[in-house]
Amino acid sequence: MTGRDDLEGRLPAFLANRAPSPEPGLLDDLVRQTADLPQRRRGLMLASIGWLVVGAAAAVAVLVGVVVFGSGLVQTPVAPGTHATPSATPAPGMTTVSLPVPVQEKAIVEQAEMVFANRLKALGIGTFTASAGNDLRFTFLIPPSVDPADVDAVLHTAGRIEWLAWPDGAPTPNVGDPVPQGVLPLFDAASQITSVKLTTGHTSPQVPEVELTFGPVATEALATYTTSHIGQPLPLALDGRILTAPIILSPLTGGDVIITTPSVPDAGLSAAALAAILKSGPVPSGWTLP
Amino acid sequence: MQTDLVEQAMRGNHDAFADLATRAWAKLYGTAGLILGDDGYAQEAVQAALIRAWRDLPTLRHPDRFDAWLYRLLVNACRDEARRRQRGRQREIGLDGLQAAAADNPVAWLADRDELDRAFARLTPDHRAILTLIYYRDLTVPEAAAVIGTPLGTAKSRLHRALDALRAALAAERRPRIEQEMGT
Repeated sequence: MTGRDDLEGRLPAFLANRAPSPEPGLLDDLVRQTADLPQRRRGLMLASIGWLVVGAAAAVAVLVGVVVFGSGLVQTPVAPGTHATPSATPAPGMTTVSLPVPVQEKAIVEQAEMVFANRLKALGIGTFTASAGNDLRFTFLIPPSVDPADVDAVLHTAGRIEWLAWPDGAPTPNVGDPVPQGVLPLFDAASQITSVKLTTGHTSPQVPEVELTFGPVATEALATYTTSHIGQPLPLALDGRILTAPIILSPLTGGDVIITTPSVPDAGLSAAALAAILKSGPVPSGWTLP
Repeated sequence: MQTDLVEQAMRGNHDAFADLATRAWAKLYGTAGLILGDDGYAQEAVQAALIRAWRDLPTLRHPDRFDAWLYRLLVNACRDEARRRQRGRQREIGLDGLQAAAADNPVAWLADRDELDRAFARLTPDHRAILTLIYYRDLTVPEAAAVIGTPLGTAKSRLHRALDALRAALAAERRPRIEQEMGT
């Protein structure tokens, strides 16, 4: 029979023996993850508020000039984009940007904050904070080396990218057009992009490129589809609009894709911005782009 | 000394935060492991608590109460993790907690037949949490009440019920063996 005193007396030793010990190195991994995260500012009301970046939805009208699939190189037309201009206060060597943010649901805001912090970090902006006083704001410093247009683009793009199975006989897709109803993606790009690199040199030493590596599901889907659709378009869409529409010249079996964006003044999305967006993933569903 | 580190971490010093995490790490992991009964889930809970701690440190009002605040984050993370486990279990095959633990790691489960261990595994996460804070972390009942975010009276009654539940679970562990002995 186990009495009260006996049970309570056994518990400390029992729990000390039963408690698991962490594996060496595990803490380093966990702490390293937190190093990339922004801290909240004091006074932030976590339970009931949210933020929303400000910008123009038309910035989604982004463009890509050239897409390279393996050895295939296909030119596509370029559409102009638009830029929202955040209010900026000059600082020595840096540009301070403070964007007012409307209220949204807490969980969505937390996810979106992470996405934007990672996108800005990928561009070279390390000082990102989400703060609240009388209103809510994203605040960050843009160093001279970062193109403000790239900042504008990553803040105003949801980041949902799709490789589309274009219907046989359908009209040729035009850059900037919305994805027609019923046209489906070949695979879930958000979960199948395993690596994103900003590189140069595949088409020209001066032209920046985004090199993507896919997981096995996407690799197989691309190989199967492109093998049976030689000569057909393989449109790439971002946030529901056609980004580029290359023609399939040969089967794509390697699991790698290189996207090259043009260096034109009105380009809505540079290779650097596209890489930052793809590295960080899309903003959470429910996040409202103004 | 620790308060200095907390204040530095609150100002964004990540090295100070890493130092704090290193000091608390083993006990955090042990506590989560006892509450959740699974090392993998414990890792998830500790990870969530540390991320939350770093992000929310600037909002901490009393740096001298960092430990209690951190353990409160951990217990909340354990509750969230336990809820996810509960939902997953109902969606899958509807096992009770004891069977689920066995299904997760049957070899270890069969090897470990200590009755107190099995009885402890039958408790709810809230009961395991209060017992862990009192008998593993050596907190007083008022300190445990602050960590789990309940009034002192609620913490006392929860501790009482947890001990009663553990005794009942122990009795249940013995019952099949007694019945088997009587039947043979």
